Amino acid sequence: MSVDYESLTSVGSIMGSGGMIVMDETACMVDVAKFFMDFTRDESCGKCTPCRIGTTHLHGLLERICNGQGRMEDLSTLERLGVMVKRTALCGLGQTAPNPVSSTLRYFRNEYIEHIQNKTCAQGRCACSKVPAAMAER
Amino acid sequence: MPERSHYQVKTLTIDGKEVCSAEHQTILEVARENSIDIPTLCHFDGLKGIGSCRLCVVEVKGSNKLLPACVTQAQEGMEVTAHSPQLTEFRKLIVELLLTERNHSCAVCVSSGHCELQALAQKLGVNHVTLPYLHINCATDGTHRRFVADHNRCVLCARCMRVCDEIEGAHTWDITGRGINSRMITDLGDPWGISETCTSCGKCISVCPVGALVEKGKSVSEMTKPNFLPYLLQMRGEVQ
Repeated sequence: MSVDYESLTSVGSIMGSGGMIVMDETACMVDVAKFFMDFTRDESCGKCTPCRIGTTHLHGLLERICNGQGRMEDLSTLERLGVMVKRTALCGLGQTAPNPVSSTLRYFRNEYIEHIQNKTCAQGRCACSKVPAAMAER
Repeated sequence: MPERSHYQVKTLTIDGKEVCSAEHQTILEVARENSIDIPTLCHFDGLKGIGSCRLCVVEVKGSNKLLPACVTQAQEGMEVTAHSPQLTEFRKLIVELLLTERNHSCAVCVSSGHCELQALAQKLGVNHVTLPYLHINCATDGTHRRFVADHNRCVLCARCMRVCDEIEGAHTWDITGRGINSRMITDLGDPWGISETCTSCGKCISVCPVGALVEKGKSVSEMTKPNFLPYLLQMRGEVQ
């Protein structure tokens, strides 16, 4: 794929600001989404409501899933909240903040489901994979 | 050639209704003049708009972004959608976010029944909070002789900051921190009671939409806010 505005836009990415990152199969996509939400939550200026509180909630929900305490309905909450933050946030930070969540949910939904239903992280990146299965029971 | 009028009237549609706008009017002002109700929280008549609460976002044909009605000027031929199922869904979620952020316990709030956040939740039909409560721990500043600032009830609309700066000219209030750690402060974080700039005029109390800035000695539901706009216009000499 050529690295220019049009090619990146055609696959749903953006030029600049880390629009393209190469990872290998040892990356856990839930953990990656959490990493980006931690960044945007931290970078949010706090002026507009959707970004200030929305990014905090998105990060919190992802952390819950990574810790093996996620629920299946969290996935629809992530999507619903993500769309709202994306559409209503004041500036470019908030308008793009939920992108890592929505794109990992779209392309790696199975990894989310694995964290929630089996309480395991196949890549061993998340806290849930470090807790014995018996202790991860809710 | 006919002489062009300096006073240009623009025509646009809001929710399919044909409306007229005077020069420099915002979509919100035009909508309200035509009895089209767009929910707002940070907006306050007489203060500069900042478009921060995002409750008033509307769809404008031709724009792929939602625009805040309170700071977007009406344009000739605009086609505005102020109400749609998706906008209502967004607005409900924004109110829900605010309800989870801090400790908005109506049962013990002095402003209950006279609170704009509570009224918004009622109007939009927010009857459950589905997201986890954050309830971030904030301070309550009771050092002022007459007023109390309970930051646990603050929604960061910055009305207090704007009225203090734009109308009173003191600029006692400001915002510190960023993101979820944003807080309203007096002076440079000093307790309100020892603020050297505060004139104790009480304007911040009267514009606060919730129970964050209140008079001392009020019990649950006792804090009512006076109608501030007539006073403001009188001060500016716009109304005798």
